[in-house]
Amino acid sequence: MTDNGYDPAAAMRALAEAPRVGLEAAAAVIERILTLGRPGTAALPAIPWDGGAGNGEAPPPADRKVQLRRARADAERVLDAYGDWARQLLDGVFGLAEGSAEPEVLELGPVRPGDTVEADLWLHAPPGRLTAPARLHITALTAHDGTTVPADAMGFEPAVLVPTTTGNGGQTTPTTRVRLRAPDDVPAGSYHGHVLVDGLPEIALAVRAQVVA
Amino acid sequence: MTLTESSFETMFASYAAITSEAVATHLPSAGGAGSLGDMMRDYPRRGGKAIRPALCLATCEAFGGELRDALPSAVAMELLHNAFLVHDDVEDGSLLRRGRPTLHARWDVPSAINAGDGLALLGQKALRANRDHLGGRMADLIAQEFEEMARHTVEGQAVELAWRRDGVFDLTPEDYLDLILRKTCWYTTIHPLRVGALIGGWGTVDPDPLARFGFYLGAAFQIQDDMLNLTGEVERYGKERDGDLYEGKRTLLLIHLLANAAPDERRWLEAFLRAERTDRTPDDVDKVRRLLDEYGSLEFTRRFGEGIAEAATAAFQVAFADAPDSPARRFVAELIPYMLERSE
Repeated sequence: MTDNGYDPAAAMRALAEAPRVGLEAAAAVIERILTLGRPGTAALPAIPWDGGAGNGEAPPPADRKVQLRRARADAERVLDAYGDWARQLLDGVFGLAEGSAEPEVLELGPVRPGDTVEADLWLHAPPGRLTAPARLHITALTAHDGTTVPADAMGFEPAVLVPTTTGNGGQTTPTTRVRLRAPDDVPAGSYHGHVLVDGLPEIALAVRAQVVA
Repeated sequence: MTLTESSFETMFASYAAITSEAVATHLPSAGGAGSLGDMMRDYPRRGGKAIRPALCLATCEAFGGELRDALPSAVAMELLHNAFLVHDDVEDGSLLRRGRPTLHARWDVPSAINAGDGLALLGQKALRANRDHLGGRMADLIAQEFEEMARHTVEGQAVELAWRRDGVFDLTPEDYLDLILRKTCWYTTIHPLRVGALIGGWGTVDPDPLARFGFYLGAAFQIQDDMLNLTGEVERYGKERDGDLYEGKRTLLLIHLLANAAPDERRWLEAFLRAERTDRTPDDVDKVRRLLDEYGSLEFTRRFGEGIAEAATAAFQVAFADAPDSPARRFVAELIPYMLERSE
């Protein structure tokens, strides 16, 4: 031991023990927080890789177990989708959604005249409705006083969507980027219009562009 | 089976680019220099490594989900991360972030706090997209994960601030690990893993093994980050060299030194830690560095972290046992050495 109380031998021992000390301390901390607030959570081995036959190696993934978990996940997803669908249907039939749910609006901006703004659009179609590549269209955007932003100030990338079938039988498409270049002389204000899709005549997604001075 | 280095980097770059592109659509217009929009765009455009969104997106894919399913959550994570960074830099009085002046150093503290609030609101808005995309039940479960993450993070920050404010010095390695579990690991690794698995497995994946893996990975990463703060090159590391010492942070290094220093040196260290940041001189900091070396604190910390890093690899196998082999699963596995062998 040195004059100031420092013991090099003890320090060396502590150094040799440091990996084990670190590992045990970390295991104790995470187990404590996982147990806290979760009465009934079965305490798992504090150091799950210690002492087992595999000494740290988890058993190889059991294909059947993986498949069962995936099947359960798919089933949960379908049930959720049908739950949401049924809710929307009932809300629509009985008008329960009025005033309670925001209509879906694609927001563009705020953007200054002469600048460009973009937003992402995902299209989800009911099962079986969109079976072929679909072209997107956008209407001119109109302000409350009749001022318009022409449709050709906007575009899509890509403009044609190729649908894919999702796990629950619905259809979805890749993300499309909607781009607006605000004309140089357009006054500030809120401009409204719609995105339309070939083959889905009853669907129109509202678009709102905010032009700022 | 492992990924080649180039395919790992390609996947990492792809996850980062997808997130960055989606984050950009949420950011306000720039406006003039010093405007709110300009400040809110600052940190997200400095190009961080995007570890959190990459971990979330890859985990989602590894458990069978589609990348797009987790993208709104990954975007929300990145926006909230930047909000936390802005506020954290103010609270710590940090001067550099990703190699450039921190937001409050560039402008002023009130404006930086306000911009951080704005980024947090954008994160909340990004999260709302889950309701339309994944349905109400899943969106609620994800929102609960975000609430739990935010609670742990602010609690951890509160503990650390109290240690500094109240001059707490008698700390153990367990105290340090408990702190970083809440303050850093939960939102850096545990949260992205759990949210990714929640979405990919549609609620069927046990979150506890993911929390263990995330903690060991995050703790080993944080310990290495503490070391890099003393040894890293500013140009590569991107933060202020010795910033933790100037800030008086109770890192594992400092806790080891306080526990082992001779009484007179311990008294000097306590006085150093009680001082205001602006009163800590380069000479003082050099002395702390010398003591850390003299008492083997650097070596102790390195070895302490090694034990946890080994645990991370083993815990990964348990947490991802139900995920079949795939590029995304291999990406997460490769992220372990990437995070733990970095020099920046």
